[in-house]
Amino acid sequence: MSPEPYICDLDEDTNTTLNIYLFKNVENVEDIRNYIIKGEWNCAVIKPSLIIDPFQIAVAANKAVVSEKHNSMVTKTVYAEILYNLSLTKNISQSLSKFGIEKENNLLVCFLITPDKDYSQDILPKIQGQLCSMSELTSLTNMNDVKSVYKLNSSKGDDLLDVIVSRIVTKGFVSH
Amino acid sequence: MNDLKILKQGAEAKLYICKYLGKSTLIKERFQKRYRHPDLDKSITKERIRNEARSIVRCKTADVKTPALYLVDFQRRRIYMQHFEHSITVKDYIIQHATKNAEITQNLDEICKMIGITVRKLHENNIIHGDLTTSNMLLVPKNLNNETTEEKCLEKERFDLVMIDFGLSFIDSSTEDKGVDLYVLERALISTHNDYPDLFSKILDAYKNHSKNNIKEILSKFEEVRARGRKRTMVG
Amino acid sequence: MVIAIGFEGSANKLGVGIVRDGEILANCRRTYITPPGEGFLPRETAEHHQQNIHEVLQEALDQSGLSPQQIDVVCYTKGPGMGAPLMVCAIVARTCAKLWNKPILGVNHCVGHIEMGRLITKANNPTVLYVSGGNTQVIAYSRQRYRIFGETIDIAVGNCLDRFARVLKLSNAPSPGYNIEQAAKKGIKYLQLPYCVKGMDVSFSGILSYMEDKIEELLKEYTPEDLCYSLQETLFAMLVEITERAMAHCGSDEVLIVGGVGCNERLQEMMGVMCAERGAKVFATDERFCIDNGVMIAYAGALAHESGTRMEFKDATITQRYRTDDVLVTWRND
Repeated sequence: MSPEPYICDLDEDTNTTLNIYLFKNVENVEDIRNYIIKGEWNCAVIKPSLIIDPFQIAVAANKAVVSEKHNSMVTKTVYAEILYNLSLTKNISQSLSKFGIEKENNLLVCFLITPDKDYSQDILPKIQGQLCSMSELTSLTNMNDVKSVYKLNSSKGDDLLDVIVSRIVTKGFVSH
Repeated sequence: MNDLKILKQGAEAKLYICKYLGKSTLIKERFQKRYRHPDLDKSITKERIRNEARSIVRCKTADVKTPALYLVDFQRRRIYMQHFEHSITVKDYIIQHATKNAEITQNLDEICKMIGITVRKLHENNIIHGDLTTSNMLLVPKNLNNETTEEKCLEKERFDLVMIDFGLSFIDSSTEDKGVDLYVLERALISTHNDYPDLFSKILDAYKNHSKNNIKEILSKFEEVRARGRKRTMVG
Repeated sequence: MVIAIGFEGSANKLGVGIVRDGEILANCRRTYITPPGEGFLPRETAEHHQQNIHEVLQEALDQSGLSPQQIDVVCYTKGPGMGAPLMVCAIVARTCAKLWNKPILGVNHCVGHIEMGRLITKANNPTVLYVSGGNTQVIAYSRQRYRIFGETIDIAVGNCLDRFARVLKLSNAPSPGYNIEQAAKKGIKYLQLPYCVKGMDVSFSGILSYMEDKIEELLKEYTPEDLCYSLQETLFAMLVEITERAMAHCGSDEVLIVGGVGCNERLQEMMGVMCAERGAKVFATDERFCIDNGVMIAYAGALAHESGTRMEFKDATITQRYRTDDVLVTWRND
């Protein structure tokens, strides 16, 4: 039995569900990157080292689908918007390179699924890696990197996720 | 899927509770006020949503507990935030419990101290709440797992003070605004809890003792603002 | 049955009124009007009151058809207000009390407004918005006091309007506020102004100084009517907002607007819209009773007298500062 993805229903008005899969030891990272850059794959691929909890992605993805619905996205696609939302900078290309994958062979793959669109089953088989349980995410998180990306030097540890998601949803009008 | 349950209808916002992104969530929706000019209504609403969200986030670096934010939605005039299911406002706590026994009256001193320290932390970080009342402060039990009842949780060191309702807040470093903030709190305590006339002085003591930075200036501004209210000649 | 006469002169209106059990027998008034661009000062206002008070008193007695012997209590405004004008009325009231051998009673001006408003409108236990040249307060009754829930932390709303009228050099007749109200009706273009609500308190000085500082510039883009309109919309939105907050706080479903600014129809209209949205009712009076008058002092004094409040002659003084919540409301026990 393969591990279950993280599933989260996003804002009701968007009728969208977020599915996140965690892969380790992926061999075709270069190909995956190319598919995404060319826009052939409808998914977001995220560096696990900067994610402390899948809820962090859920908040960013939710904000992305709501912006899409309101026609107020900053980037061109809703998947790029997720990466943009995850970072605190307003520089788009920096955001994409920061949270997108480069050479690392662990990755989080996110799909936005609506009643009429679900590309996950086409894409998932093309990822050559080991599908893992989301509980393994913690071991891949690099706390120092997370703290530096989210400027968390001064905050205490216990509410880290709360602080991160709160910063994600206010990045447009609060400078952090 | 997400059944919105209306929790409360306030003067300017409706509060709903629901499950959102799998979490227990409070939606604060600021409704349109038809009595005011539509341009003014729009800008006030936008400004208050922005100020509220901004201050809530800032508090987190100021070591002041606030709800986590899940979405800020200007189109729908809403903020989606963490809902504390087992919380009680300081106002309700004082009204419902404080007279019951001596132990809880002692808790009241503890609560005043926490309020004083918390307000001081806000001001040290130049966050002016703008609407300090006991309805805008929540007591939240720290560890809910141990089957503790609400009252037992409200013992020393076992609850957090969470600040909410930052719609009238803003960032300002002036001592004037801090003085006014304290004055607003004093007035709210007098009108809400006139059975407990010493709440404010206890809060102010904790406020003073927490840090000495600029304290003289703030207190003299506070006295000045207070005097303005009391001594205004009020002609006509 | 109590028949009371009331003397009011805390600001630029001089009024003498007579009531019998809530029935108004006389309501006479003179207003000291200054030239455009000028406000009223204590000395000149007191002189105006001195020159007119005998005539107004005679007029009130004639209107009521009563002889002084039929009066039960002589009431006057003890404060708050301007010292010298208050003193003029206090002296005349004391003289009448001695001359007619009647008890004397000093009345809080704000309480006078509230009780007059309750009498005229039949509002039962309203949240009160008291707005005038010297006061801006949101008041609610609780346990024998009119408690102040919100108020201005700097200048009064009427003062803000009056001073803006001076900036525009509008006429002070019949009142600057009235002329702003008329001009505002012709305003079209809305200018966004500073909006300052702090809890249940408001601040108006920032708006006034903004207008004063930028007036030359603003008049290039906006007509004076536009500015009057924008000013009213902003000030009144703030007032309605804090009134609603106080109502929500007290669980009240009635609003009573009193004080000189209270006869502004736009303010009444905005308050009405707010009340309709929350299933509440708004009560307001017209200029006969909203604007300072002697009846309100007579009526509030009669209520106090009937419920046993007495004042010794030696205490029949005035005070410029007199908080609404200093008065023990002996005539209510709800």
